[in-house]
Amino acid sequence: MKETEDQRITDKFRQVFEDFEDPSSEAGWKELRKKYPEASRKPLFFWVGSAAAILLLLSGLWFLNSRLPREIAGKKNLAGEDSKVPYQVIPQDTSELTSAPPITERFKLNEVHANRGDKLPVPDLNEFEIAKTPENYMDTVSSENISQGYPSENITRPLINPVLTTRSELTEKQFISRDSLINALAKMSLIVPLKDFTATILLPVENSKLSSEKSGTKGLSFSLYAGSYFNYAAGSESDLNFGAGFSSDIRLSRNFKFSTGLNLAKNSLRYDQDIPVNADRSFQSSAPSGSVNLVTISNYKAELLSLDIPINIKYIISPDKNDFYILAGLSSGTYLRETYGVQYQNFNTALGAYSNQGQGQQIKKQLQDFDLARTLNVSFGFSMRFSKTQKITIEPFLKHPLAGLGTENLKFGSSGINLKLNFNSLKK
Amino acid sequence: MNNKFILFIGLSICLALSPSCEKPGVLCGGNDPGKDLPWLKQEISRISSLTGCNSISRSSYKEQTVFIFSNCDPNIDSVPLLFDCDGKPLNLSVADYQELKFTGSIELIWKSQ
Repeated sequence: MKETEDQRITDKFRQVFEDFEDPSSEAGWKELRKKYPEASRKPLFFWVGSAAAILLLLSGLWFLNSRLPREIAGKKNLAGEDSKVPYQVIPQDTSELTSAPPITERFKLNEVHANRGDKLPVPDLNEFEIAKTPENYMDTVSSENISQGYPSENITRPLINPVLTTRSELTEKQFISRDSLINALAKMSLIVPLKDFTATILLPVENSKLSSEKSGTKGLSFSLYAGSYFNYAAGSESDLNFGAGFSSDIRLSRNFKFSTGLNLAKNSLRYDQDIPVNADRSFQSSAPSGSVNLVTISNYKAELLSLDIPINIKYIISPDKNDFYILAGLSSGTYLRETYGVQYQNFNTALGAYSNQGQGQQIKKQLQDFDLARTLNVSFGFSMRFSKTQKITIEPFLKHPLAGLGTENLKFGSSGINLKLNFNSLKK
Repeated sequence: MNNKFILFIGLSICLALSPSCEKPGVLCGGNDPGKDLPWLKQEISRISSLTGCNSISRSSYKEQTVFIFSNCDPNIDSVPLLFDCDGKPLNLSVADYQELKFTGSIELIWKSQ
């Protein structure tokens, strides 16, 4: 009779267990997905590891819970056949469910009542509380239980099983543990604010973002600069000049930036000796050298207002600090104004001296030439930040000619120091 | 910080000095080419035996030192002859002669009496 009753109860458990559905867990996952869409970039191992851990937990919990009804039945048999019941049963309404006491003892239920044949309701999560400590379970394990041959793991393992504080049906309590992970997550979202909970999970990803974008700025920055420099050329005196412009840096990688902009610079050259070969080719022809009178260019001047478009690659030595860099590239550009002046002198070979004080000519040109990638740029900079989006950079530079520049094809370069004011655009 | 600052100063100095590394142009023959250049010394002795007004000057043309042999007689219309530092004559075209301008100061080295 008892066996039949036990079998019936077991079948009942199994049936309800198989039909059990928990719509709240699905809603919980959907809520989580809404809050944190799939677009977030996480490493593959993170997902695989998480999935494996969840699967392991689910399968373990399922395994434990699927064994539980059978164990209950087995223990009931033991209790029925052996008068030495190793635990105290508190039967309050056991007329229909005689096998309940062992379970109630284990879960500290004071009262269990389940009507035979009733369909067990879907448990409401709000009726339960999560056990805060495992002592609730551990307290029930006595040395006597162990000596009686009860596997202690059955008692000590379900540490995270919810303790029912209501007098719900015994079976409800058991079925809840089937989706205990989902329930636990849902419960945790109630106990711990969901934002904080997930923030803890996502912390490594956020940290990596923060480290890569430590400055909190976009990969684009602008600079205004002005500088003084000396022009140099073979045979020319070095004159001090000034220039100004703006540049923009676009981040290519952690260490490299693409830098371009516009630079307005005055260049002046003055030749007293070693006059360039083509120095006077644009001038009206004067009397050529004869046997008696030799014509020489005694002085040559050039002033060029250049509009320069540099294309550089910047290597940042310490990207975290972003304070020291080396830059190299090429410049192209045109000249808003070119002024050339030449002075001739006649040397009288009969006298062995110059016969006059010199005759001068001057020509001016505008936007008549475009030099494509004829200047090599090399510079390095040292930055000092004085606010989150602004910093000052001292940038010594060298512009070396790779070919003749301007309409007269003069090979000249410049070397000096720029003072830059950098503006970084903040991330929105 | 200190290492970077030292590197910064070092690079700045290198950059500042780099344009000045170019050697200034030095004319061939030194201060007394009539004695230092054997071929020129030989030419001077040869021309000295000739009659008329002849002169040898030194200047720059197309980025090289040239020695200019010219007839200094104002009544004779002629073109100067140019020799390089090794005594080889420069073959100038008619167009070159029409635009002949020297690009450095002209210095008289020798003139016939």
